[in-house]
Amino acid sequence: MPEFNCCGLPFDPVSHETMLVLAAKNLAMAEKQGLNILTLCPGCAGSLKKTNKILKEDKALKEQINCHLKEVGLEFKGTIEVKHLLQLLKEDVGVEKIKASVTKPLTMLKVAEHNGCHILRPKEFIGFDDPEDPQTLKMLIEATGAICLDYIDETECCGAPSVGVSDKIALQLARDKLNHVKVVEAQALITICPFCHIMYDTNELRIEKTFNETYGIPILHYPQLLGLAMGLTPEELAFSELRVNASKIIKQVTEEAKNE
Amino acid sequence: MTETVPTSSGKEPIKASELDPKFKYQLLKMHGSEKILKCFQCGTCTSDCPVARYSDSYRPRTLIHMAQMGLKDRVLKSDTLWLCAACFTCTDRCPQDVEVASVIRVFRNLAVENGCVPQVFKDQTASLLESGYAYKIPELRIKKRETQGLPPLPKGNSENVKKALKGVKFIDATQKPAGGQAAGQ
Repeated sequence: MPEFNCCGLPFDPVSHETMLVLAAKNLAMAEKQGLNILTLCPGCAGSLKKTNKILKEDKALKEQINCHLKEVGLEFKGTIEVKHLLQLLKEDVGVEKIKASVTKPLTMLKVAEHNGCHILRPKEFIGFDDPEDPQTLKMLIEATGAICLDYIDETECCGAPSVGVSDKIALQLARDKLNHVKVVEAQALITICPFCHIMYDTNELRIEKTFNETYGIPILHYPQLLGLAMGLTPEELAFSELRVNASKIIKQVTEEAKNE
Repeated sequence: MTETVPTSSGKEPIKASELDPKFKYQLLKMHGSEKILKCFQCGTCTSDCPVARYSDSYRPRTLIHMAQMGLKDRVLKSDTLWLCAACFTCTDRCPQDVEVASVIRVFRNLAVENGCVPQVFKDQTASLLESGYAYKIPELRIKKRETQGLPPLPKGNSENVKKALKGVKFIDATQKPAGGQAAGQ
């Protein structure tokens, strides 16, 4: 959708109305085309889902927001739904189909998952998984053949939204997660939120320097993991763009494939 | 940022003249903080809060209590109010269904109306009105996408965004010349 704008989530802290207008505008544009929305970012999914639900239930607020949308020839009606990629993979594609598409099972890999916050909470608006014991990402990782390890405080936030205000606190949160993941000797941390991915990938080396730690844990986005299992090459999956070197994993995967 | 007051009680004695007993009624009428009076200070929100874990002064429970008591100024001028990561753990676990993260969001919105806007949000707003997005992707990144064979990114329609946002208090305030909403207040 070429005219999509920001979903509004970054503006909610300063102006709830701004978020509602921006999100409703995107929803109205998709409604006009009769299409549902698929997002790659859980934050966007959360903001769009929340706005969708709130405006459907509160007529007065819907009128108020529609006054803004009228200026650009749009109207929010509440006829479509929003899903994040993870939800789509679980509900519309299905774990069985994903398993069937795997040609190079990653059975040699032991990884840890990081769901992040906005794919699970608030349960009232997102609701396709249990925020206290999330299963979806685990199932999808296991579908690639990789082993998904449990670790302490799996549902902890990555801290990214606080970076603009206090990077010290945000880094400590990220450090905490990396420490827990290191303890269980996971070979990689799998994310499904681009913001979380940037937070860990961009800051891992900085955290190592600031707090005198060593991790060497590459941060992979779930599609990268699934891509490897489906036979795509690391080049196609943009492994070279990762700041934390993932060459160890690539070596393991390609060597196993040769041995088979 | 305007001068701030530490939020932890016990550091500054409370004067009766500081209290605004009508503040809670104002909050009851706002979308997001309708249930603020249901909070009975159990502390679940603060004990779950990932930011409170690493901050020695951010306590969502305390902020709500201060609002219930009428310490409007202290709440709205607080520095730590902006540390909330909006992870919604508090909202999910509150036994009274207070929607804690929404209450904090209401406080932040009110603080903004009083002139307290952290720089990062000012930058995002400028970017939004210029491009339709909160963050401008650097040219280098865009060129890299091309070399990797990825399709070009959509171009937002910033004119339409501006039109749709006209009349929203916050956006209109940022458009005022520096005299109204001063930049580095």
